[in-house]
Amino acid sequence: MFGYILKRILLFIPTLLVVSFIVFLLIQLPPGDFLDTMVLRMQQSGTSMDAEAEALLRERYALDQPFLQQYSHWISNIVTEGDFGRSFTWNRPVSELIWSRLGWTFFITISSLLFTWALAFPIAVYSATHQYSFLDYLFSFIGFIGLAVPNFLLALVLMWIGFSVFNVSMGGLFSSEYRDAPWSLAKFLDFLSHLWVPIIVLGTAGTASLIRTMRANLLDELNKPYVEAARAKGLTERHLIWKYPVRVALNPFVSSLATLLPTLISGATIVSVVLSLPTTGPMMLDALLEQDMFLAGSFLLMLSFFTLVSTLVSDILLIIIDPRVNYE
Amino acid sequence: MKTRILIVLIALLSIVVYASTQDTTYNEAPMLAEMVEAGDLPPVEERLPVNPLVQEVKDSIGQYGGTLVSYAPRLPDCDPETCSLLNANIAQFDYDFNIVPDIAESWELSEDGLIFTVTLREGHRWSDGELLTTEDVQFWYDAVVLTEEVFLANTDNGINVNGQIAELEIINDYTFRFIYPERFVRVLDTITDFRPFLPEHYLSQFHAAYNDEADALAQEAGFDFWYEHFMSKLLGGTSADPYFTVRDQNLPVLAAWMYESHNSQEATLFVRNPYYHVVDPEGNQLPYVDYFDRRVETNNEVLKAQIVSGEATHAAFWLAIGDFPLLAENADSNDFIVNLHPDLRASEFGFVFNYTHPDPVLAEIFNDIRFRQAMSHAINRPELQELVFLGQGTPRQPIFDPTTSFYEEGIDQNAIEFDVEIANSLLDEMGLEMGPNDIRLRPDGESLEITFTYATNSPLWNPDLVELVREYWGEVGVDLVLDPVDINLYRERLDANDTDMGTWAIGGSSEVFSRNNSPIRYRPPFHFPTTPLGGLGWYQWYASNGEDGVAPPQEVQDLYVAIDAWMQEPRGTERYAELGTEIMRTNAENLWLIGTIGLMPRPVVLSTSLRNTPTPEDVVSVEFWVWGPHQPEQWYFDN
Repeated sequence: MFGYILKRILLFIPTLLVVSFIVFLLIQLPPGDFLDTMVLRMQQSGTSMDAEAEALLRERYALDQPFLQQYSHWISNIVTEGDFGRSFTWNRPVSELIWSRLGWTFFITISSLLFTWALAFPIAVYSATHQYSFLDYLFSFIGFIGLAVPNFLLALVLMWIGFSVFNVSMGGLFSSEYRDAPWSLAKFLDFLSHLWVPIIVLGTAGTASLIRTMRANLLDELNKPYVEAARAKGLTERHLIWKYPVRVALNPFVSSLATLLPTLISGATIVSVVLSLPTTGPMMLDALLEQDMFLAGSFLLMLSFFTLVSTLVSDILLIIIDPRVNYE
Repeated sequence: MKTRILIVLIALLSIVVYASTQDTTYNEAPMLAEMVEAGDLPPVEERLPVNPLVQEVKDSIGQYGGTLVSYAPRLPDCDPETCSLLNANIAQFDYDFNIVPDIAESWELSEDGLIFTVTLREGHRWSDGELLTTEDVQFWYDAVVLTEEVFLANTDNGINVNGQIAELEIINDYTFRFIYPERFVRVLDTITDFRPFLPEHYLSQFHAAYNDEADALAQEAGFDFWYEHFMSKLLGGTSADPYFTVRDQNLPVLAAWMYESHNSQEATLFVRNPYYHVVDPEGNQLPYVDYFDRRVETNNEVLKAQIVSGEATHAAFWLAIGDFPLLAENADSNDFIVNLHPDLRASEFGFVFNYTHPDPVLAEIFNDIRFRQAMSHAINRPELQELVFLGQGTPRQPIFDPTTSFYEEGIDQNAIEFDVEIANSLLDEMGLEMGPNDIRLRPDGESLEITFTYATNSPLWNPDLVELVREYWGEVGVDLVLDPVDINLYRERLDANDTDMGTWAIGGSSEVFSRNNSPIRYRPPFHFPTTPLGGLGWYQWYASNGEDGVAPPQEVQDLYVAIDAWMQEPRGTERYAELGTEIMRTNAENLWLIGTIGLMPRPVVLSTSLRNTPTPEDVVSVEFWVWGPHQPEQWYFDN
């Protein structure tokens, strides 16, 4: 097994190289570059830059170099010095910008994942064991709604309710008076009062699909002979269900970790923009629109890296919970 | 009874004593008085210049305290909403848009327009307490203008005369002069956006010519080269970096507020500059308001929701006419007032045909004035106004706004009325016969198709407006082919002379902008030359002194000459008005730039308790840098 994990980790390197190349290429594909965006914005504010200055800046930012040269410069700096380059828009090193945002992104993503699990697991077990009951229908109904409503729409609706009913703006993670305050109990409570919105918004869609998969799997297991046999031997129903079929049906939970993380992260982009969260989403979107390629590229690279890691973790977990799985 | 009289007497006496000391002493904000008391700050008399700038208040003498709050969609910009509160230039606009002193005590341009002399205020101090002297001017000149790595040609228009740089001469500690290679009277228009001084005592450490360790300092701060580090300190941008990324508490400034802190939500807090050089008529040092909190909401809807819920004390730049109903609905319950203020933008949307089109047939059609008249008559502006602009604004051609000193009533109404018959008869007269499918035929027999290239990822090109115009022009037999592209591709096409027609919002159209920057809307290519809307060939001809490009017709050549002469004429002279009128009339008659709805009012949000702020009849315009003339340093909260 350790050999397997090592092999997987070694495979990260070529995968990430390919990803970084594609990412960089995609960012460069649209017409224009960062300077074009900058000039446009200056014009909007009523100033301008003449062609000469534009050319000089383009040279200084090395935007006039061929694509391959720009890419190799960027990637070799990352590999040799851990230097992700400098963001044009923010005029600061990329590494200074991304870490706190990556932190928030993972905090929110993992909170939503835990929320999803905490909600999906008992509901799925209940729905499967009480198939076609009223609550099964009710949960399925709510679940399907959660699946069908786009996340950002849910976020907008919650924000509108927050604004029209409670007259508070739900955007961000803190109320304005706590934004600058040091951590305190009051700030923490304020934080919690904002946190539930993104967690619910991001969690609902995942919850629904997880309930459905888990329910279907468990239903398959419940009709298998070993369940009958256990029941015939006189095990209590609760003991039986939790000990055997649920454990077998747990596989999608763990393997969903691999697919759920990227979904949550990409879903979080739009939701974060709508809710103004301090996560990677809005900054990455901005960077992409402005062709701030080192910033956007670094974000995408880091997110790909974490997706690879989460796939690996879920594979390892699968081996642990299900002895039948063997990758050797 | 006796004691009561005594108390009243003492009270009266103290008022008299207080009032009599007004002439000689200055007052300061309580937060600064505390620091003086604690010995952290010299007394206010020592902090102010010998001759501080006394600013008339708009309504009343204010009270100290409070925090101004504004919102912006992104951190790095020096957008007008933010930077109009942080400016410190040689001069500034007052409420009536007169140019009045700011940092400089006085200035004088010699009769021949060759020598511009500026006098600073004696005893004027940077926000860290160091004196502002002509050494800081010399430093700016040497470290920025004469340093190739830092200076980007042409962007500092107060010393740049057609590519030649003025000489600097220091007279004494407070007086300096620029000597121009040729007559340059326009400097008088640029001084509201001209700040030829930098704090040498602080910034020289980052400059390689002053400090051998500058490169090492830069690398410590995460830059590759010293000049990147140095330029990152130039707040508001002397020239190259217009981005507002300075995060340096130690950087001395001259503005009313200075950088204090920054939080994880990208909000930036500015605090009052204890050395600010402006006092009110009673000697109270400005600004009245202690803090300025600039918050960031990246999502436009959230940003507006914050403003609607009363979180901002002032907002204008990011608001559009479409936001007004929602703002008005929530104003009372959320303690703000919202008014529609006059703005000066000549047209919300304008069209320029490509007069130097590579296809000679199209170029000839576009150059026929009857075609442009017909296209203007074909637009149903009243309907456009109702459907797209909430019925606000004025149907007009994008000619100067009515605040212009040489404005003529009705000059903007040429070919403005909606009349399909006139349009058709003009096109018939041109010989553009109606062909199959009700599309007119070009002289070479092909159908008259015009490609309308526009950017989809910009709010400028309202989809309703684009469709409506297509419909209007289709009515008279001109087939508009819509070609939506990315905004950067759009710019590239314009720049490559690869469009039939250029469209944009026609701002930068006022007298002040035309003089301060350049008259971009009144000569081809009708925008900044890096984004030419139409007639790029003509501009190339003009810029290369006739060597490149396409020779324009006589009236365009005359226009270029008239504008150059106008820019060399000081404001207010007879000749200035004559030339201005000529430029205005030529543009109005020739309809090179066709407008839709202009002078669109701007919704302005102000906190109910804020005083000395603009009243509804005051112009709030990007042309005047939004809050610039409205003296935010004298705003105060009435509690």
